[in-house]
Amino acid sequence: MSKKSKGKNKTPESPAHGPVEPVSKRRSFLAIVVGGIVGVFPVLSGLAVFFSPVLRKKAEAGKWVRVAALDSVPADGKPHLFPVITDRQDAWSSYPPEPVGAVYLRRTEAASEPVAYSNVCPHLGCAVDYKPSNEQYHCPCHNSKFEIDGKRVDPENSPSPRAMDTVEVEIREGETGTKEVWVDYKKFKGGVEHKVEE
Amino acid sequence: MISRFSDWFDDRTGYKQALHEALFERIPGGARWRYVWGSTLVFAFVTQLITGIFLWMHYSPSTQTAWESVYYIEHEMTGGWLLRGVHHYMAQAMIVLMAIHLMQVVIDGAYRAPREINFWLGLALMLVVFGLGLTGYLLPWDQKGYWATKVATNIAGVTPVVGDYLKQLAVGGNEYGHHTLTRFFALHAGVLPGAMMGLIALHLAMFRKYGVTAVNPEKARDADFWPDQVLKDGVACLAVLLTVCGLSYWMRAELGAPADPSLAYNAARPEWYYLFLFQFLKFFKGETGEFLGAQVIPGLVFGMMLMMPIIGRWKLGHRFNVAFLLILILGAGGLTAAALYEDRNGETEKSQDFLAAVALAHAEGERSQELASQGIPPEGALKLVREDTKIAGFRLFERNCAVCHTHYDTDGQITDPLRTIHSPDAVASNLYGFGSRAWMKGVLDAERVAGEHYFGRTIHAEGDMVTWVQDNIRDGNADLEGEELAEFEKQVELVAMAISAEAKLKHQQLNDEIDEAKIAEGRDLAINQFACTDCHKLGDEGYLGSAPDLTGYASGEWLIDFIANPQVERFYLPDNYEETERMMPGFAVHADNPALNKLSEKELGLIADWLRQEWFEAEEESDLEAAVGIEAETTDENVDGEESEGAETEE
Repeated sequence: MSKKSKGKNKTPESPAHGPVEPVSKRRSFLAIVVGGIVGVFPVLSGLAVFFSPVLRKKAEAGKWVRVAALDSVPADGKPHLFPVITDRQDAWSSYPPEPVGAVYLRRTEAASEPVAYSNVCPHLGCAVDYKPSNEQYHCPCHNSKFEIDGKRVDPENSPSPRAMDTVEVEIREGETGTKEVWVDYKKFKGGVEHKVEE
Repeated sequence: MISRFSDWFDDRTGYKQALHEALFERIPGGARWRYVWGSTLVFAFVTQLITGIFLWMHYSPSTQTAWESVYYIEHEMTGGWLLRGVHHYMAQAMIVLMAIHLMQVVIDGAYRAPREINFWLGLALMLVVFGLGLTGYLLPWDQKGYWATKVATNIAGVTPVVGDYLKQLAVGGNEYGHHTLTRFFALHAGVLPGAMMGLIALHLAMFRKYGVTAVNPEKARDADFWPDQVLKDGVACLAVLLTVCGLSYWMRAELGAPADPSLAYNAARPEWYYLFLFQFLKFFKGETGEFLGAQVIPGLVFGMMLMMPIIGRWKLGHRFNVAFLLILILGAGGLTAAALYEDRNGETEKSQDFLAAVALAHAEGERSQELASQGIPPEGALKLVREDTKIAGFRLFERNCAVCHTHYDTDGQITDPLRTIHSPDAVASNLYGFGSRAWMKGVLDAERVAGEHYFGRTIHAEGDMVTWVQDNIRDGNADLEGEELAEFEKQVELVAMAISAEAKLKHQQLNDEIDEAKIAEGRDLAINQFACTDCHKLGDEGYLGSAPDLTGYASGEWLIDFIANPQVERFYLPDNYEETERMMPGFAVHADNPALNKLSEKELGLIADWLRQEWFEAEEESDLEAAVGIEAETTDENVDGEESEGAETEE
């Protein structure tokens, strides 16, 4: 069949052949299966990587960190903010010890252990401030307020679902025999009534 | 020639037909301004795509390089600020244009059959645009984006059943880090734009299938898309473009300080178009409240919008839809206004705290950029910021010293947030400009020395020094007038100059050198005329134990020793005073066991340097100030206008 166009502006027509191959159910099925595999594979290959944060075994939840010398926590019943300084791993990066967060330490009598509060607001994760002038914690994001012992001010009307989270404290002896305050630094899930480790 | 080529090309591609179909769509009732909004949205999106790709060529999404690469684009690359500005403001313009487009579609009933699918495609597009805004905000990895996104991922985490997984998938683990950035970036530059392009193609195809919904087609003659509607669309796009460019020019896109997970960020707010949600959340208390306010109600509202095509089948239903939308928009507008007012009214304590936090965040952002201009180490800009004297010293002072002391310019001239600390319950002195000539003059001024900025709130308020100043400087010379008075005042000034010179303040160095002779004279007066060394030690004269050592007063070494332990013979010996519990405590009293100290040697040094204004300043800034005659912020002396004594002649 001639492929040359007859006139300048006419598009060449495709030549006609004889009868067409009938649609085979078997081949249709195979086409779907093979096409499906080929089409879905690119996504499948990435799924393991994509879901890795959810699939990998949870690393140890908390980490014991030395926060301060016991003597440097004033026994005045007031919360004092101490940075939590520790090394950490973030994907491929290994970081030497640096501030990763902060805790409030409150010590009421000279003999007792201080209580440690995470400064992460249990509402939605902003950092909570302590205001010495009215002896309350205040979160600047959505106005959650907490008393000096971490309990919510006016719990019925507080945005926060629970009191400030305490973290475990241990007094350990340091190298030179000095008493040190160690804290099990953990993160807790925001927006829920009960304190749940993240 | 051209017509022959176009014919040849048309034979092969059929473009003429396609072009004709695209451009010569018939618009019943003619081209109208109310139809332009869809086109402006396409324009905005394409602009974002193109500016986004150019930004992509220079942006690096890791925790060590994100802020740094954005800083570089903004400040070091030619036209970078414009590119980023357009991208930043066009994103916000899209939100406004979307709202207008939605209003026009609903009011004109363009969601009704057979256009329901297209309406739902439009709602899907809206969600994608919200997602683009959210993911983009985090990418500079500055304090603002970091903390705002933290709240957003925490909200996602509250979703029942799947919340934890959703959050972990978004964050790339349990903690914000490298993978948070890379995931958000993949969403922002890949997945969401891809979805957007697909949805736009479908949305346009569906739109063309049934054409525009003309409300009053008899009002005017029909017209074709080209050129009438295209012209109106083009004008509207031009207006958007000019607005965006204008905003880019007059209000540069902000870059806050590098994200620091360990630092509270009190100025945390989402972008303005999420403020209504932010305000809304404040009304919901507790666990159920949060779920209700952050997920259920927004979900229900969106559900209602999905139902609009169904509800709108009846005339009353259409009216309900319009009313619902208007109430929604007015409500969102009201909530936004309330949020802005609550934050910025300047009258409530909360608002004042917020405004101060914003000012500080802005100052830290500028300071971070100043530091970055000198070159960023491989660990990233955060390291620079954490070790910077001006910022680190400020933070240390705020945390440790501001319980008792204040630090602000009483003249109100210098309001740099990184040098201004007001403490409402201060019980000690104002240390702004400590050791400077202006400060020393205040010590020798009978009014000020007993005032709140010096000894007034301390146990020394009626102590020996205050009494001496009152007796000798005020009362003893009350009879002097004219030349004698001037001479006496000059002597006092020389003494102040001499003691101030002990500090060896870097920003005063030039003046101290110029005034060497006067300083010697002042020192002589201090010892022989005013008899300071009857109580104080000064060099080889006098003795320790009854008053603070004036040797090297306010110098780096003196300050470090003082802050470490002021209750020693060299400074304020407790034996000399009553109410010793009100005296300043030491912060590094355990010389033998540094682990017990409140502050390390390094931290003491940072505080001392900060008090003495010894931090790096970018040269270009001082050059500019010198050239234009603006007073350099750091040099108090210039601000007081009193200290250019090298140039003046007193006599």
